[in-house]
Amino acid sequence: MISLPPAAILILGAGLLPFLPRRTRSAALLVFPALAFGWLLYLEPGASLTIPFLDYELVLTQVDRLSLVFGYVFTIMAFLGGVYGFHVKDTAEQAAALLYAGSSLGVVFAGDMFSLLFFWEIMAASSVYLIWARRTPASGRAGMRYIVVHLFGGSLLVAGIVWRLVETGSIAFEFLEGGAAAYLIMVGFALNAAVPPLHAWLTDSYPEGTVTGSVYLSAFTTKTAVYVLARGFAGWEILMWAGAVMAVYGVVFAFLENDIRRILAYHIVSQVGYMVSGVGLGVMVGVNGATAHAFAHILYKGLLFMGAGTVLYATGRSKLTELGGLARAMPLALLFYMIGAFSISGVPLFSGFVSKGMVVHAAALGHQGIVFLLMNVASVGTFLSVGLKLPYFTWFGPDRSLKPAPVPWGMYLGMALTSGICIAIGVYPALLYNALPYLPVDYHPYTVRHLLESIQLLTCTGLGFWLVLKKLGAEATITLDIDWFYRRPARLANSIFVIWLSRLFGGVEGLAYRLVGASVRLGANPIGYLFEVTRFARYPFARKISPQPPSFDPDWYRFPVGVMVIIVLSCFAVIIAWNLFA
Amino acid sequence: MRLLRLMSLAVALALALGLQFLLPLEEAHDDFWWNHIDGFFALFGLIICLAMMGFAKLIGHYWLQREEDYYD
Repeated sequence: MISLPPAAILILGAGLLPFLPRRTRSAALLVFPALAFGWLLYLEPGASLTIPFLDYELVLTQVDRLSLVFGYVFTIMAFLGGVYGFHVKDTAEQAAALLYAGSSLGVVFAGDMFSLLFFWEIMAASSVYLIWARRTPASGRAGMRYIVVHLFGGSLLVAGIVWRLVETGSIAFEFLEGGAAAYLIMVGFALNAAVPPLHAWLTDSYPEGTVTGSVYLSAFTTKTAVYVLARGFAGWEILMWAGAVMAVYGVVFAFLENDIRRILAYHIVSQVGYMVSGVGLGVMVGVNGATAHAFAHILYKGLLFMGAGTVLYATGRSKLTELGGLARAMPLALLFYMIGAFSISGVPLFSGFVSKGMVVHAAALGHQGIVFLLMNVASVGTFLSVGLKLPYFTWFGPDRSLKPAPVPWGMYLGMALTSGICIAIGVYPALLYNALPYLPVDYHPYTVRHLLESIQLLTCTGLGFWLVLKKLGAEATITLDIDWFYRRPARLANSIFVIWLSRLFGGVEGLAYRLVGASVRLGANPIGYLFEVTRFARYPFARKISPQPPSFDPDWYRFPVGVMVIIVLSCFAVIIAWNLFA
Repeated sequence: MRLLRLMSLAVALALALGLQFLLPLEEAHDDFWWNHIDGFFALFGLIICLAMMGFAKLIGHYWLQREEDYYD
C-alpha cells in the first residue's frame, strides 16, 4: 500500500468542507484530524512516497520517529482545536484551520526541500486567514504584516534552497553542514521559530486572531520550525545561544504586556527558546528534550490560549487593565487555565515539568552553565507572568463587575480534554517518552533533586510576586518591539511615496489643465480673453465684445473609452482571422 | 484572607527549604558550583523574580512602553 501523505487527508478535508452540509462541518473538523491520526498510527518509520517532478524526485512522505511524534501532536491539537471551536460557523475559517494543520503535517513529512517549501508557503497563506477572520481593522493590518514578514522569510528559504541546489545538486532535506546556503535556510526557519530579532510577527499578530484561530496559530507555525531545525541543524551551537536568549527575551517582554493573549504570545517565544536551545545542544537528549517540550507545549499553550480566548469570548475584553474579579463568574475557565499555567511553569505532576526538565538536563549534561541558568531565569519569568500575574489580574484583583456572556459547551469540553492530556503526561511521562525519536530515554524527571529545585524556584518566585504585588498593576500601554522598525517608518514611507507623491501628481495635473484651459480660451477669442483677465472685464462693453468661450473640459479632447475597446477588439479579430486562414 | 495567604506562603517556603535537609539527595549529573549550595534555587528564584520585575519596569518606563494608540 502506498504511503499517502498524512497531509493529504486534512488538505482534502479542507477542500471538501464547503461542499458538506452546513450542520456537519464542525463535526468534519473532528473527523479529518482523527482520520489523519489513525493514518499516522498505521505508518511505520521508513515508509516513503516519491513522485518524479521535472528532473527531481519529490519525497512527499518520509516517515521516521522524529516526524511521527510531531505528526501525532499536530493531529491531536487539530482535533482539540476542532472541539474547542465546535460552535464556529465561519466555513472559510474552518477550512483555513484544516488547511493550516494539513500543510504543517506536509512540512513534517516532507523529505525534500521543494515539497517542504510548497507546504511551508501554504502554511503561511492559510494561517493568515485565521487572523483576518476576526474582521476588525486591527486584525486586518496585523494579518497583512504577518503575511508580508512570512513571505520575506519564505524568500530567504527559497534563496537558500536554490543556492544549495546549485552548489551541491541536492534537494534532499537532511542535516546541513554549513556554508552560506545553509545559513540562509536556517534564517528562513528561524523566522518561523520566532527567534529574535525575527520574532515580532508572532507577538504582533497572534493576539489579533479569532478566539479559536489563535489556538491553532499557537500550535503549528513555530513547532514546524522547531522540527525543521531539529532535522537540519541539530547541534549548531548558535542555536543553543539563540534559544537561551530567546527564552529570557520572551519573559521580560511578557511582563510588560497588558493584553492577555499577547502575554501568552511572548511566552511562545520564550518556550520555543527552550526547544531551539535543545536542538542547538544537539546531543540525543537535547533533540529528545526539544521534541518532548514541543509536544507538551503545543498542548498546554493551546490550553492557555483556549482559557484566554474563553475570557475574550465571554467579556469581549482581553486587557488586564479592563479585566478582574472573574473567579466567581468563570471558575471553570480559571481551573483549566491554571492547569495550562502549571504545565508551562513546570510544576511537578504537570506536563511542562517532564519536558522542560529534559532540555535543562541536556544543558547540564553539555556543561553549559550559562545556558542552564538562563533557562532557569526564563522559568522564573514564566511562572511570574503566566502562573501568577495574568490569572491574578484576570480572575481576582480589582473586581470590575463584569457580566460574562455564556460560553459554548464545546469550548469547555476542548479545554477539559486538553487539561486531561497535560496532567496525564505529567503524571505518567512514559506516554510521551515512548514516542520520542531517540530511545531509550535516559532521563528521570521525578528525582528528589529535580523536585526540590522546581519547588524552591517556584515558591520563591511566588514570594517575590507577593512582596511587590501592590506595585504590579498592569498598565494600559503597548510595548515597542522589533516590529517598530517596519511599523513606524511605514508611516513616513507612506507619506513620502504615496501621499506626497500623489499630491505632487495632482498638483501638476491641475496646473496643466488650467494652462490648457487658458490657452484654449485665448486661442478662441484673444481680445475677449485679455479683457476678461484684466480689470476691463468689469465694463459692460467689454462683455459685449468678448462672448465667453465654453470652459475647458478635457473629455472633449479625449477618445471615449469605447473607441479604444473597439480598436483592441478589431485587432484581436484580425489576429484570430489571420491565424485561422493563414 | 491576607493572613491565610501569608501563612500558606510561609508553610510552602518552609517545606521547600526544609525538604532539602529531610530527603536524601541524589548525586547531581553535572559539576556546577551551585550544586553545593543548599537552597540555591530558592535564593535564585527570589532574586531573579525581583530583579526581572525591576528590570522590565525600568526598560518599560524609560524606553519601550507607549500609549496604546502609538501606531494609529
